Amino acid sequence: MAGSDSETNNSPGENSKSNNDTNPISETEISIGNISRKVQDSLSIAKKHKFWETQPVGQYKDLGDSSLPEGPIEPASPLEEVKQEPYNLPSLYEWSTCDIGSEATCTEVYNLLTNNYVEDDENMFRFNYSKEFLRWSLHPPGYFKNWHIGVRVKATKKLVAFITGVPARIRVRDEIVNMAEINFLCVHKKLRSKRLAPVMIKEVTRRVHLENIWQAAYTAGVVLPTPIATCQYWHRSLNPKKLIDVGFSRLGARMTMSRTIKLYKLPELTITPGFRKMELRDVPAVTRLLREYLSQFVVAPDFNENEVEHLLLPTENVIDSFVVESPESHDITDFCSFYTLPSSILGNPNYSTLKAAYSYYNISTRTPLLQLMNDALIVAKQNDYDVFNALDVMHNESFLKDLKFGPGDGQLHYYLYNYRLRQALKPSELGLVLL
Amino acid sequence: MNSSSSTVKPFQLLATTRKFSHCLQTLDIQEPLWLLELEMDSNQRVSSENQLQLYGFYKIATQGPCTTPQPSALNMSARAKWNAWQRLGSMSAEEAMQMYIKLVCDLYPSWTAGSAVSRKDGDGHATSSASKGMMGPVFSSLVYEEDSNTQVKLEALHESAREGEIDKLNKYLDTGVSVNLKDSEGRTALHWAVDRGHINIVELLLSKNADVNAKDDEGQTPLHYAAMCDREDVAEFLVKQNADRDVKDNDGKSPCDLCESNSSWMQL
Repeated sequence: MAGSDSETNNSPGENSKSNNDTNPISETEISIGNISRKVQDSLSIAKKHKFWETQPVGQYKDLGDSSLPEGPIEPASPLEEVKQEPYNLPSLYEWSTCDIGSEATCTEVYNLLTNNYVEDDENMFRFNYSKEFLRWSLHPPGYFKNWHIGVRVKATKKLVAFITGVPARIRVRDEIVNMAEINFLCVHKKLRSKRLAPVMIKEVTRRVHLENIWQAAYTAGVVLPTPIATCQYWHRSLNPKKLIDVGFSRLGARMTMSRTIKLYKLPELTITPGFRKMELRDVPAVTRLLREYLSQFVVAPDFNENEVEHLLLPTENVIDSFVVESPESHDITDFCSFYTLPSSILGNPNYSTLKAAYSYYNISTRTPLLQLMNDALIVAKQNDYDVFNALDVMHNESFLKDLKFGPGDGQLHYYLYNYRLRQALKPSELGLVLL
Repeated sequence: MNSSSSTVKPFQLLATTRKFSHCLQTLDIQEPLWLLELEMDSNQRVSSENQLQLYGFYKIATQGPCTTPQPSALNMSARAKWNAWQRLGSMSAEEAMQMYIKLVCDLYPSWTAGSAVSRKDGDGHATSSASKGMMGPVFSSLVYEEDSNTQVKLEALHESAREGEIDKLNKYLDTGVSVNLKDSEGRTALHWAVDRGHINIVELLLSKNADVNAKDDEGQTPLHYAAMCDREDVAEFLVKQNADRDVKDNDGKSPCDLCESNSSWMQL
């Protein structure tokens, strides 16, 4: 059979890569890595879809069917009809609510994610969400402790899987919907064959239902039924030499490191007069700006002042936010923010961490968005970030190319659970960033 | 079976199809790169039915549903292609891409197996794709390499200096090539060796009397490059070999002006 033969006959491209990990990888090989992911996805898609076809999510066959209404796919059930007992896990495992406020538990979750969470296709990087980040993102106003769900080995109590929900009000067109944002689904590498994820998704859904919430928002790198939008990651090099050394970026044969470094040089100081860190006193003004700005998108969060204070007030190494205060009127006219998500660099002798800033919410009313984001880049560079990442959501596309962002190999698909949209949205119609 | 050629070609083909996903939103892809028949080698013929299916998926993936008028029945090949595209109706581009890839996998089972083997993490490889399968964020890195906007022409001497290939470099020098030979941008092999941080090549070139203060077309010396790239060990060595610390490039910048940190080589 062709399949068995090929195991001993790698293509030349693969050989050169596995034998020579430190060399810059050619574009063809990168593409192969991506294609390989696509292929893996498409091969496992049938299996995954068996699960998703049983769930109230938009189905492919319904896309573009104008006879179906937009809105909830299934009506809310009376609460007493919600299953009161947790779903069954394989017998060696048990559910465990994880109190992220407890230092010991937060450390367990941190360790599980640091060693087992999302990697790139080449297994060169793995997300390394900090403990401060976990506490920040999992404790928004009105959070539910029992939506932070762990799975432990009964015998040893070792934490081996995790999934979370946090409540959010998300507006879809004219309707504000109470939703759960589902995130941090992680199963220990050694247990990936146990198919824990579907039961974990069902369990978090059950706990969300118990709070009388019937919709959810989530993202994935793969296509499931059915994306409401497919977005693209873009990356702006801040420390090109390190990015090249660790394989995040590559240097062409005719390009010099020296010129690459020059290309990405930024001014040392921000340019916009009145550009400063956001403070507590800015919360009302930022909330007004944000609500006004987000109202133009088809799907966007509905933030109040409490949420803005929690999500956007700067927290060191978690979230950075800046306002432009008019030097004349002292009005807050513009806002930009990014969150900090480092990744572990796997198997590199010189570097262990990639420090990445991720664009969050940005609003320009007076300062041009391009200039505002250039100042965001300058601040990120001042604070030793290696790269600044942004999705092509909201108005981001307008500055990406001019500010020397390059396209990434990662696509992010957005999904709503139990809520139908008739047509997929363009990234620019989406006003939502999930962490 | 001649396995190397039969696995490499689909790789190249798929590398092209994979660009769909990036290009779809941003670029206007030009008319058919799809032509699978060109890629097929003789012992791996794909039936014309499969070719037509691939064509249909390609067109959906790049151009969406078929809206062009039906070609004349006399033009059989154009008509058959049109039919293959048109019958897919309003299938999404995403789905079409996956169908395309799936079909190629079916046609080339060896390709799939090969790609699984290439994963580095031996422990996790069997399961890592499953882990990504459900939900959550995505780790993305840059697709394109940093490249020069202009057509730079390098000689073999520069290439071996860039790659740190000391034996090749010696061989070229033995043939009588000038150690100060310039590329099309005025860079010498020493510039390239410094740029890539190959200190052993730097030592070799200087031992062969390379000009330590050679200027490229922008007026930059190897020490400018070392300063810009923050290669302290190389800079220190160059200074000890009498590199000029005060020489200005065309922008009026000396090596010290380009260096962000206050490095030891400045004080030597």
